[in-house]
Amino acid sequence: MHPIEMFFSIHHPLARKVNATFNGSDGGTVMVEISAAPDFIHNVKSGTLHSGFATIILDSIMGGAVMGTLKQIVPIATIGLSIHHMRRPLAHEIIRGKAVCTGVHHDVAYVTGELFGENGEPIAISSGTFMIGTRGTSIRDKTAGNETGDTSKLQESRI
Amino acid sequence: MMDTVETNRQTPAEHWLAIRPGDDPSTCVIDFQEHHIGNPIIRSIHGGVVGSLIEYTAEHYLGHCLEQKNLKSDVEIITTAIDYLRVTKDAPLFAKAEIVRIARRIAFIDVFVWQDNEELLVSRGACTLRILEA
Repeated sequence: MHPIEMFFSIHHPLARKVNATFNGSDGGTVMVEISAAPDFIHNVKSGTLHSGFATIILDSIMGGAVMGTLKQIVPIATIGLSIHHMRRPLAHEIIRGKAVCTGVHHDVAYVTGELFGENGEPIAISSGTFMIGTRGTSIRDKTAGNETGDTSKLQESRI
Repeated sequence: MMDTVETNRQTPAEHWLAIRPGDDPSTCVIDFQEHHIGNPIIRSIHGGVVGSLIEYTAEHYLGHCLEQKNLKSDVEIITTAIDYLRVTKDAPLFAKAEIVRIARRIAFIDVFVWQDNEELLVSRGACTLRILEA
């Protein structure tokens, strides 16, 4: 199971809100398909979501791409996130997301992320940096017990 | 599509984020909710929720400033660049916006976020917004 799938499991209160599937996720690449949650509607007339929905999804899958590159899962923290919002998705629209951890240098992971609508129309693109090995307890040895599906210890701390 | 910040009635997004305007038009507050947690172990708030507060506060304050100028416009976030400065905790988040420049079609707004103490920022964001004639 890819670490991002553990984060989005039903055990996590925020991730529980979105019904996500991760077919094709492998290592530093996360692929996700999400139904845009109506809880994030901000323009009631048009049924479009607040830009914060894209921000939440991108921060999550980009962090997941970093975790997918780690031999042993350690706490990570978002340092910076830059997002270009192109359009607001409609509630219940199927959104496809992709995050790629491009590289790691001096414990800083460099990640890109993008969200598209069903027809391939872009919703948001982003780039971010994540610190690897922040304060906190190491949670899961990838070589042992990574199939347990125990999400209770999954963590992402800030710096 | 444009974002419309409704002041008299909460939108689903405002309800989920538990976000509300602060005492000053340039400020907004998120009242902590369990579903805002990003890290269940250290009970920090999800970075996307912090980002949502930054974007909402920028939109809210720009809307207010345009109203003061008797301009009937909608606003839409184009770009947000967020720096995460400190770990957050399961407590309210406060945000304050500062206008950098309001041009005819574009505005630049910085937003600062804190919890216990305004001097100890947990995050800052630089937002670019499009101003659209209503």
